[in-house]
Amino acid sequence: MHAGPVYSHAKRARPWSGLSLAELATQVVHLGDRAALKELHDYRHLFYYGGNGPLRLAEYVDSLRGSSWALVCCDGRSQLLDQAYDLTIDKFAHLPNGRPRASSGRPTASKGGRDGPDCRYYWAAFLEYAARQTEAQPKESELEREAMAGVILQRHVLRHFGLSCFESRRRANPLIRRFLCKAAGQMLTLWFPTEMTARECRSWLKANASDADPTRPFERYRIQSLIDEVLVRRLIGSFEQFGCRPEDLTAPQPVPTDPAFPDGAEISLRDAVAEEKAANLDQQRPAIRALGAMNLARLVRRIFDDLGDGEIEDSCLAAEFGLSRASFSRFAGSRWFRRMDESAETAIPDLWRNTAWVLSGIPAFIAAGRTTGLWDRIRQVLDRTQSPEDLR
Amino acid sequence: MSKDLFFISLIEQAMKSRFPESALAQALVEIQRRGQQEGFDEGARQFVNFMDEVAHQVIGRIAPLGSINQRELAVDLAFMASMPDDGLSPPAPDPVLTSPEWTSLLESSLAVMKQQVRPAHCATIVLERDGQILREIVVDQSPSLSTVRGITPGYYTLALQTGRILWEDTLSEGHLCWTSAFPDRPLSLAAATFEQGGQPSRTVRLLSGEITLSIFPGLEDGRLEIKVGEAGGPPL
Repeated sequence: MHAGPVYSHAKRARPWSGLSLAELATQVVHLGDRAALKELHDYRHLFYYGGNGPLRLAEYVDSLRGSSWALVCCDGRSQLLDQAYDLTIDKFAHLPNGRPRASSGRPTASKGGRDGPDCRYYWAAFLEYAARQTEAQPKESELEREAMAGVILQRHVLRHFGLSCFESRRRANPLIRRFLCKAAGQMLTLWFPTEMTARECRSWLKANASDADPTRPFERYRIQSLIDEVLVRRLIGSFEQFGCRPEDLTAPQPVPTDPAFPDGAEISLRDAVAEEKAANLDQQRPAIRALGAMNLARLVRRIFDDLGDGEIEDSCLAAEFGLSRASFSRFAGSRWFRRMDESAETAIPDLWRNTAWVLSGIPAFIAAGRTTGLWDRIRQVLDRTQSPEDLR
Repeated sequence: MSKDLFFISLIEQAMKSRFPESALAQALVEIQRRGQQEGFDEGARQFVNFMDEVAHQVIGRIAPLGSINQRELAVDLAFMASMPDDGLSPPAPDPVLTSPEWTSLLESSLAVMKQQVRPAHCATIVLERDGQILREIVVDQSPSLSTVRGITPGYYTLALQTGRILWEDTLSEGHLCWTSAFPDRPLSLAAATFEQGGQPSRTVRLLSGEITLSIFPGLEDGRLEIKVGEAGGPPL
């Protein structure tokens, strides 16, 4: 049995309690009406999930966050699921201040700019879907119209939760960044390599996708697939392009802007790895998981500190943190190579693999690798594993 | 400094530089130089292995991008396929790559879209008095009449289960008690026996007449009748 809606008897607290779903969305889109937005989020129970309902929007998105489908979309990473949840709620709840409306009645603010999403875009899209359905399948009964609007809104929210999962995955990748492109009077959200400047992105689009037309179905996917192909091609091309050039080592170069490590900030590999490990405690081996997030972060920092001071005393550190020598060795052993079977490349301890992961997302490290043959190493790995075609 | 992991320390120190890119480049050269010294051979081999891992991770970060794009497309296609057919949805784009993984995601997205089970009926109307639910009325496509007896003075709300309030008001003895509602008229038989019919003290048409709410006074308390008409038609 459902929990039933929560009504308020203070009519003044719900000035739009009598409006239909479409009327409320219209208030939000055309007037930026916060009371209508509050009514939609706080009082309307429009969603059903897995036998539960009716649920409010946030409750529904929370249910989706716990689904196995969402876990697949987020590549099994719970942190990304949480980000996808926040992003979806923002898409339908975040109403920026003071934005003028276009003459069409649609908001003029960017869909996902620096201030976050503008919910008017998402409610406007819902109204468009609802209007199309009404036109295709007219219903004279207002009860039926309201029910149909609920179905459409639920699927609209579900779709955007799925897309938020993928956006979270992209946001977590420091090698790419969002680029908003205006074409035929509409905005397209695309993802380009971080190293490309806005001007380069625009030039590339002009040369390779000058026919971009956001009104064409699935256009964003077509353009993005072109960019993705180029991204891989650039990587492979750069293998050939860069070698060890000692002259590059003499003059300090400006630090590239890096979303994870802002310009001018001191980059602490030790802290970055510690925080990443602690944030993904649930993905650690049982013995390490048992340490808890705080102790794990402390252990990682201690290992990095000891490395700087001298040899790691594996057995002493293991005892101090209550780990067996075998557990410590799998986690952060300092001599893995001699024990490694030649075919077993996975023998690198978890902490060092994780350090490699953190480094792989730092543009400064990748750029430094260009001058020192890192790309040659990547090319060798690539040659051993798969053909470039497989990467697409 | 640990000889087996000397490269980690050098990389970490370089990253703390104000110019990490050039400092890292110098550190990588220094690692290669030091790796050739006696006592660092194990560390040098581990560094090569470590850089293999970095290379794998770089590839791992870049390779899935195309797949993310296709996965987004799968969710979008599932969304369009799940919508009531309006004949206006665009066809799937031609170059959709149908890898087993992609097909699997499309199918699971479709399944999730369809699993969002909603009740088969059109709506549920909820009658409340002072915040307490008195009756839930399930409305399907056919006309219906629901009667709620024992209505005493209080604050009443008639709402959809979704939270949309259709009507709310305070009902007093003037609405519910015959002698107060119609002081000049004799108590009718229907009012006295609480059967259907009789003279309503108030009638409210809701949703453009799709629902009619009638309040009938009785001897000590009243009754509410909620009539729901056919889709698009007038109430019963």
